[in-house]
Order: sequence, then structure tokens, then C-alpha cells
Amino acid sequence: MRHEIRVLEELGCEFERIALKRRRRSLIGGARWRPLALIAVLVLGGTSAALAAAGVFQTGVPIVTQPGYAPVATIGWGAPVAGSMRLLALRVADPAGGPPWGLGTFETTQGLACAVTGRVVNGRLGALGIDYAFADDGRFHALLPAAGIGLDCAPPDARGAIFLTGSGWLESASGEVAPAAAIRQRPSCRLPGDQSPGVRCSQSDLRTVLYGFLGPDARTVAYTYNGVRHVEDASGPDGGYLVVVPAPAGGTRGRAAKYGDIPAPVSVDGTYNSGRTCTLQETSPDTSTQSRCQAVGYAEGPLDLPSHGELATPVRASYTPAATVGLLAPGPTIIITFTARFAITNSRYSYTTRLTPPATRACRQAPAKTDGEIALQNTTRGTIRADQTVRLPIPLQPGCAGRYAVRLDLHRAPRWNLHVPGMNRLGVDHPGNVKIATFAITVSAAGRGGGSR
Amino acid sequence: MTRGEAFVALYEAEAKGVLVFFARRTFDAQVALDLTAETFAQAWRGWSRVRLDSREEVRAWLFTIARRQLGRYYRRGRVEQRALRLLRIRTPSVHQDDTVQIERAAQLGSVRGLIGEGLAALSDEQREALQLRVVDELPYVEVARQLGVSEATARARVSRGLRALSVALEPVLASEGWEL
Repeated sequence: MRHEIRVLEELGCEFERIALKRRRRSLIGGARWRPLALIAVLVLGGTSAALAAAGVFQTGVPIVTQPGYAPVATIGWGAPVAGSMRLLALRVADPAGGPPWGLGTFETTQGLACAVTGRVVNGRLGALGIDYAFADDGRFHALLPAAGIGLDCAPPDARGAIFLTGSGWLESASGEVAPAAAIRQRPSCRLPGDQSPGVRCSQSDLRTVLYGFLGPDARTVAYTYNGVRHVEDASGPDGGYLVVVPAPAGGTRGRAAKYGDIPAPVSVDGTYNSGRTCTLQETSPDTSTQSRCQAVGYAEGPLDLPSHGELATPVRASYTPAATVGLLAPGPTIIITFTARFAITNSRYSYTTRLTPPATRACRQAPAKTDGEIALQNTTRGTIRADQTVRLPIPLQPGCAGRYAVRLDLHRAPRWNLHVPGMNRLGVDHPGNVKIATFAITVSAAGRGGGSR
Repeated sequence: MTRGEAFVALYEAEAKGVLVFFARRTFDAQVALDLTAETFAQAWRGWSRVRLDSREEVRAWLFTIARRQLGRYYRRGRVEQRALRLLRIRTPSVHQDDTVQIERAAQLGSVRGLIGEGLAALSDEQREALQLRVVDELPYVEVARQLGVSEATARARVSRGLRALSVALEPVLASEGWEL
């Protein structure tokens, strides 16, 4: 057998043994070259490491995404817009010296602005080949935006200003900025909480990196570390800030952003031109404080929604007793089908449909009620053309027959931010929703049903 | 070709596809491998009763077993290993290099992006469980510690959250040909 994934090869040997009743010779040849390869790496890496120790960083291969990990322009956050990467003038020294840290932004094809951090060499943002990253090659590896797509993306406001606050990572000093699994190069040392095999980061190599954008009304950002209060001007037109300090011992969360639940060693306060001051990052988890402070001065702009009449379109609902939807095993499903009248070109807009199940005992007592309630809505994700036929399948709870109320809306998120619970209010009367259709579909116990408007 | 050789050929042809199928639905390389192993173990136990007329039919039968295993995993939060134990098959441990290979094969980067979007639609406890396990990639023991629940409860919350989130993954999973 030949499988590119080692464990599949090993597992295949087991099945071959069972199926053919004989033992397969173990594959030992592959291990013979490893000591020689390790020696070669150590020898080659030694020169660069020496240069790095002297503060000279040669350029290595850029940080790029794994094959198949490339962001898709029309789905989700979208793909980076070519040439949109901007590095702020802000530079922050690393506690151990070497190239400073920087903060950058880029735009995506779905209308979002994303923030990325890393070490800066020759005016470029990237990571250093230290702390086991990039095989400790001692080189500088520039970040390409596609590798930086992550959770730190949000839509600019009506003026184009960026608001992103409360972001924080526990990082290795290499500045490796992208999710480890998404980049082609080997990740750095294992961060606290990462139980996968590999070398653990030493405490001295860990950094807490706190950053964000307060918007154009921000004036200063202040934090206190080791009893010393630091006050910095907010950087750039969008009020960027970046704090890099040694990570506190005992941190276990690894990469955790926005929820405010990393144990930050410093408290960060932002002050605005109006004189208002609020806490952006606290030393203990407190998402409510961050929620209040994360979008001071955000200009929502007009809703710019089409009317109900402009969206009017025939909507059809059909029932199928054993459809496969996404991850689910085959099960009862209602499929909503309609022709889109409004083109969706960015992540703030979506078509969303919601079912209200019958108020019967069978529906109330169906297993996994919470899951079932959640599954009774579905929403489009990504670009949709005008006149495109859209199908939204909605899995039902088995055994829940009767009359389902159906509602289809065009939805514009008030401020698209998945970290704020309840921000996206789907399928309800809300200024950001335009109702397209409401009707009912009856699903019989025998598994038949149909409806349309 | 003997039936045994035919089964080995089936494994060679389909093992990666089954592994990717599970990886995209569990976001856990070890769980995906365990589910793959149990699927093929159950397939071998029923192999003598399968007609080998059509490769498509055999493949559909194999994925029926896989879906059944996935459904059990979602419900119980753990992988069944009944057939593996009966056959005394040892499932290899997944190391970091394997995880990278499996995640690359399954294109989990794209799927994680969709997961991130879909998190907003979940209940608070499921969102937190998925955030810790799928986005932060923490081990279950750590997820349980941070949620203040048992490991079994943490596994259940993650598996139920994934089930509820399934519709978010359609664009990526469509390429597998298993959509509606």
C-alpha cells in the first residue's frame, strides 16, 4: 500500500494483515535517512542562527498557506484584496530585543478589514525563524496576507474606518502570526495548552500580544506593566495600538482572541478625543466591558436595504425525509428554494430563513432540543448573484410532524462581529431585516409535505 | 483477485476519502482516524456479504457505514471501537506531522473559516465549546477544565455543536458530492 498520510499507511498494514492473513514487512527504510537529514539541518541552520544572534536576518521563504487552504474570494471572509496590505508606522520593541513588532491591516473581497501582527524587518511584517519556527533557520519570513486570514476581521464603518479591539494572542517570540495548521511551514514551539507532540515553548520565549484599532476618534492608549505606566498616541488614521510584553506564567489558552479570556498581564485603556476613557483589555476575563468599548464612534451609515417589493420572489418549500445536509446523517429536511432578487457582494448581507416548529409534545420532547432549535434556521454565506437560484436546506428533528411556519429575510448585520453574542438577529422583526416571505408547510407523520408562497 | 485482496484494494482506494470525510466533520485528526479504522473494521466484518459488482455500490456501502459511525459519534461524543476490538486491530497514534497532513488533505483551513462564521448562531455553551476545541484547537481535557465540566460533557457539547453547525459547511463539503 502507498498512502501519503503515514497513519493511513500504518492502519493499512493492519487491515492487510487481517485480510491477507500475513504480516507485512515493516517499513524501516524511511527512517534510515533521518539522522543524516537532522545533521544536515543542524549544520545549515547554524550559520543563519549565528547571523540572527548578531541581529542580521536573512530573508527566507514567505509565510504562505497550505495547498487547499487558500481563502475563497466569494465565501466567508473572502480573500485578501491584492495590494491592500498596510503596515502602520507603529513599532514595539520585543522584551528580548531583535526586530520590533508591528501591526498591519489588509482588506478582503468580502468587504472586511483584517488586522495582523508580527515582527518587522525591512518594512515588512512576518516571523523569525526562531523558537523552532521554520526549523530555526534564523531567517525572516514575510507574511503574505492570505496566511493572515483569521478571526481578526470586521467590516469598516460607513467612513471606511477600522474598529477592532480586544484582540490578544499568546505568541512565541518568533511572531508566527497565522494559524499553525493553515501555513505550509512547520509551526514554532508548542504554546501552553497545546498538547500535541513537539517542543514546549520556554516561558522566556512567550509573549502576550495585545492589539487593535479604536477608530479615528481615538487619542491615546495606556497600559501599566511592572508598575510603570506607558501612554502612547493611537497610531494611524484608525487609532491602532499594539502592546507586547512577556507572557505571564501559567497561561494556558494559546491563541485566543476577542473573548477577553486570555490572562493578560496588563490592563489596556483607550482615551478618545471626547475625553472618554474605557478599558479595552483587562487582566481578568470580562467580555461585557470590551463589548461596551469596542466600537466608540463607529458610524453605522444608512441601512441601504431594498424594499419588500424589490425582493418579492416566489419561494418554495419542499420536504424530504432523508436528505444529507452538511455534517448531518441523512434525516428529515425542509428545503427552501427561491430566486435571489438582490445581489449579495459582501459579508454583511445574507439571505436567512427560519422555521418555527409545531407546538406539539412530540416536537417539544424530541431529543437534542437545543440543537434542533438552532438547526431550524439557515443562512447564505458568501456572494450571490441577482437572479441566482438559492437553496437553503434546514434539518428537522425526527418525529416532529405538523405545521411549520417559514420566514425568509434579507439580513444586514448591524455590525458584523461574530464575537458579540446576539448581534446577528436572524428571522425576526429588526431594522436590518427585510421580510421576503412568510408561509407554512405541513409535514405529515408519514413524511410528506409541501408549501410555497 | 481474492476477497481479501479486493478489500485491501478497497482500503487503498478509499481510505483517504473516508479519513477526509471524518476530518471535515470532527476537526480532530485522531478522532477522524479512529472513525476511519472502525469503519473499515466493520466493513471487513461484513465484507463476505457484499456483492462486488460495482465499485460505486461498494463505495456507497462503505460511506453508509461511515455515516452511521459519525452519527454515533455525534450522539455519544466518543468513537465506537467494537469491530476494532474484535479484530484486534491497533489504531496508530496521530502525531503532529500526521495532523498537518490530514488537515491539509481535508482543507480544514477553509472549513474553520466557515465554522467561525457559524459560531454566532449557536447557543453560548456550544459556541464556547467549539471555540475552545475547533478554533483554539485545545485538547478535550483542557476544554473540559475551562468549561468547568467533565471531559465527557465537553465532548458531548462539541459534537452537538458540530451537528448544529453542519449547514455552515455546505460550500466546502459540496466538492465531495455528498450534498443534497
